[in-house]
Amino acid sequence: MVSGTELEAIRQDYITSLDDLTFNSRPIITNLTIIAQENIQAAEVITRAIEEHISKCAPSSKLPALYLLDSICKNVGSPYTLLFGRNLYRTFTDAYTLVNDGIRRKMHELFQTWKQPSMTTGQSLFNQEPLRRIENYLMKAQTALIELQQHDHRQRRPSPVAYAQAYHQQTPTPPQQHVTPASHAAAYTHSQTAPSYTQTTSISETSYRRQDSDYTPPPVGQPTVTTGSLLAEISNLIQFTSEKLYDNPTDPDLKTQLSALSQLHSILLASSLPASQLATIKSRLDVLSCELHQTKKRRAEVDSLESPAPKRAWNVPTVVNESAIPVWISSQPQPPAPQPQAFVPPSLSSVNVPSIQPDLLASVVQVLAQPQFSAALGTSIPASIAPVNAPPTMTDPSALFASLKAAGLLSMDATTTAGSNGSQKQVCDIFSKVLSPDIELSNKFLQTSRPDLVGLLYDSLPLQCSTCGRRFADTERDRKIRDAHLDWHFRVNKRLREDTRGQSRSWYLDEESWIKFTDGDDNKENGDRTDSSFPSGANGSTAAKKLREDVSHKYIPAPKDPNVISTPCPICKEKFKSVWNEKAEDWVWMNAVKAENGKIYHATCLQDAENVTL
Amino acid sequence: MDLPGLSSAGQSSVTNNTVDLRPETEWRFEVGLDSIVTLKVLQGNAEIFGTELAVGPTYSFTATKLSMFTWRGCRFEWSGDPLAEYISEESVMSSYANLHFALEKLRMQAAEKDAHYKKEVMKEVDIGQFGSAEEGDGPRVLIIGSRSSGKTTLAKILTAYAVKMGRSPMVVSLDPKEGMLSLPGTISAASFSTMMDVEEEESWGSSATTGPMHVPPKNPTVYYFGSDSPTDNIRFYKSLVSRLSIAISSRLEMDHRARVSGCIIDAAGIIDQKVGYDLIDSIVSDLAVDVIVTIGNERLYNDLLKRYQPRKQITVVKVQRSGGVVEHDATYLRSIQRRMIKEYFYGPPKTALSAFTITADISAFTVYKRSEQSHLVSSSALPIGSDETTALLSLVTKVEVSPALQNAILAVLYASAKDTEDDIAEASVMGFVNILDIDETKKKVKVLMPIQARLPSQVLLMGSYHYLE
Repeated sequence: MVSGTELEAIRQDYITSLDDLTFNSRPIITNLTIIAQENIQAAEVITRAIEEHISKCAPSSKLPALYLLDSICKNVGSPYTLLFGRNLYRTFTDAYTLVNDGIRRKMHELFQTWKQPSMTTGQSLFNQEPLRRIENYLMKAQTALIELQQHDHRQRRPSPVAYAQAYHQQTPTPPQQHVTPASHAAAYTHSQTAPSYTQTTSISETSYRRQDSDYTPPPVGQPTVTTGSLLAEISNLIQFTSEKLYDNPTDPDLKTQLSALSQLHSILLASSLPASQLATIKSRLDVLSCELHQTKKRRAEVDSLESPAPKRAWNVPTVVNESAIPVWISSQPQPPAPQPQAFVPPSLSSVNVPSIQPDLLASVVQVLAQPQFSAALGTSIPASIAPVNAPPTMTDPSALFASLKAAGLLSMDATTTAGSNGSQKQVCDIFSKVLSPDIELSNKFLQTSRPDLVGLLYDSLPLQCSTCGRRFADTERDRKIRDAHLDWHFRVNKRLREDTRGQSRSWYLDEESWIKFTDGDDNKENGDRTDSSFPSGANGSTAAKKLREDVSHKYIPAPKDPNVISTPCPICKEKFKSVWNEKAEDWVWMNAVKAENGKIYHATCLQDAENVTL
Repeated sequence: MDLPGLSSAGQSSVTNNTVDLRPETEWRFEVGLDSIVTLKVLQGNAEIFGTELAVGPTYSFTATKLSMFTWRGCRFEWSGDPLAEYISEESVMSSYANLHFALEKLRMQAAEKDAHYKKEVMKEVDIGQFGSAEEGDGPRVLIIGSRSSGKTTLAKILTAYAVKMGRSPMVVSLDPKEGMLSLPGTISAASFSTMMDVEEEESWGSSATTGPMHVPPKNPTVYYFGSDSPTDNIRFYKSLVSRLSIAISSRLEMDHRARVSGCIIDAAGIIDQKVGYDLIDSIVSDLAVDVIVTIGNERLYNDLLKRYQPRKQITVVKVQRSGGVVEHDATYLRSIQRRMIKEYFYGPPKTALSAFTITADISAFTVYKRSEQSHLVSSSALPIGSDETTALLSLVTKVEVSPALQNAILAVLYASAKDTEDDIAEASVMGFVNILDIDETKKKVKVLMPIQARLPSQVLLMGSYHYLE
């Protein structure tokens, strides 16, 4: 069991993290939800920490904190629902008295989602008792607000808390019809495994993000559309498409669409686009995701019709069923919490990534804007309509593909695998996960099954080099490292193409040089380490490189003797070329030295040969 | 008739086979010496011993036994004519990955403690008042198991995962028959901070060359033991391990990035109670091992648990042996060793290297070999006043350059002919040469050199390996 000190440590950590929740931030809420999920053994202290936070924090921070409470209860469920239920009335009403009308309205909307009985269990999120008391309180305190709720459905916007609702309910109609947020939450209550949980998060991400643009004013610090948010959205779409492909493994359109999306993902990764274009793409993607959600919802309904028992309809578990299904990407847990605002467009060297022509982008957008998609957006599809079984035809992805090909983007380095997620996983997430007390060097831990940890090897490092498969985190620091890495590939390829003189094995470093040698330079952001391919004793340090340059600038006056002129360098067997040197005011052989034996060598060749022990 | 399994081998070498690999399964395949199997991941994630393959590029393999594992499923195509290939559902990867994360936790804790690391690597300006004195040591993991228990595979997986998460573990290969980044007969250490070369899997990739390489080369420090098994000369082996350990600790003093990443030590597969445990003891103390991982041997685990667990700072854990581990018979081992020697001089297929032949005077060479393992005379038989240590023969003995050296592989040492035998015995290796021909009448030796140069050192150490193309 968890010791008292560990509990205290978790409590302290959680309290510290809560301090960041000063505005409505989906990433932070998602993170904190995950931490609550992972430390379920400390549910009691976490619950208390959140309750205290809600009662003590500034009025403006109360709503986000309540959203966190909501997120935890809906995504994690028991025991949090029980624990929060105990003080729910006080927690809620104390906060209510201190906030302004705008926040009160949102709290009211939040409360409405709590009351909805789950379709699977028939229960509401919390016990009836606190809910009834809160309802009475609200009726007394704010009749007007209730009226708003009763009569003015049309003005209701998808609330940030109702992400689950937005997920089911793509059209701005009230949530009471079929699948309720509560049932959604309840469905997850039944699924205890971590991967399915992360899946939930990724689903809710989209809706959270969708509200980003719906809300006025938008939450602090979150620009309406950023490349980062788009990337995250595309990643979600990629996942949804993968899942559809799971259902229709033979559908070529879906496959191509998947590639098209990953290509778009790559383009965005590799370039910075004006905000207006981002917005256009964003609006198209919204249409697309809307359409996809609709399909998913139908699938969920079909599932619930077919099997009344609690079932994880769209949770693709990590281990999928036995039948041979060709695409597995859908089973990847998604990393939570993209952080759009921290996104910095990478500055790739122009050689590696061709600049994006506006017309190409336009064609991308155009392709995504094909009628099939617009139709999905334009019509508000009644949720109760019988499921449409045929998957909606995707747009003609080959056009996008062709245009990408034409622009030479298909060979682009920044391509990520279809399953990878462009979201920015905070480094501290990895830390908190790996440092969590259940990971320890013991036989017991080694034998447990922890598929969730594998995500740290993949999803936490969403950027991948398409040449060698090396992965990078989606952080500013790692992007720089990635850029340096791509540059390195480019230089190596260039040198391998141009360098015809062949190469040999270098001597190993001597003990002293080896002790002083550090090969971590790749992460020093200048990419020098990988230049250890320099012959000078395999030492990739800047000093060695400098030395190398000095050597290659050596020259001798071009000899006059025709026999000497026609004699190649004895090492590389290449002839020397005479060039005019301004400084010497003479014709010279660059990169040449006369050795003791009277023969003329390329300075670099000779250095390679002699200086191998540098 | 076109029945599955009836197609001839010739056909299969031209057709592409597309395979869907389900999550947490692996495709195991063996490639013979003279054939090539190519492999291309079409979709999903796939890794060979922890190193992820890129989606798209074609990888080719020869003379190897590998398994490609997938966590989340993948689709790939392969062609060629493998000696064997099959999909296995049984995998120990989950516990290996857990082991990695348990070690990663220790690394994080070390990094947290290490003020230098924070300053130099994490670029944290404010390192706090606890400051400079604090140093954090990452886990130093010793992997022990019988021969062919998958020690090296586990070491590779742990290394690859650590590298993937941005660490630079110091990998120490103490199994002379394998030879990491070098030839068989060596023990070596190198810090790994870049991807491993899956196509050069047997030798852990490639050491540096004079030109660019597709996969960043690694820079090992190498000591030459000269034969396959430490038991051939325990004393010499232990002396080299101690010397290597000193170099490693000095390096880790300087390189905090490697220091917090810790060491991954691949021990030789000698686990008998008489010699093996004694060797383990000296490795544990030389390299300050604090984590011991045993593979698939309950008795070994329990013995070591009893031996080391009471010392609080050493943790002993066990993992299962992978069913994919193949017994390397002597013939196979020799062929792999030949391939490593060949590729040292001439490079792997994708990066051809030039080797050079020079002719030199016999007098220019001083060749040593390891002294025979001394079976100690009892101390009473020694002259009065000399104790055992002084009575011991020196670890190396000079040998005449004679036709007996024909085709021998000699290690070029960082030593001078004036050095004492004791210095020579613990000198590190500069590289290797192959004696092609010895002409006693003309007093000339023809030597294959890896690089165009004069022989930079005159001191050569002979082992039991020979190479003839």
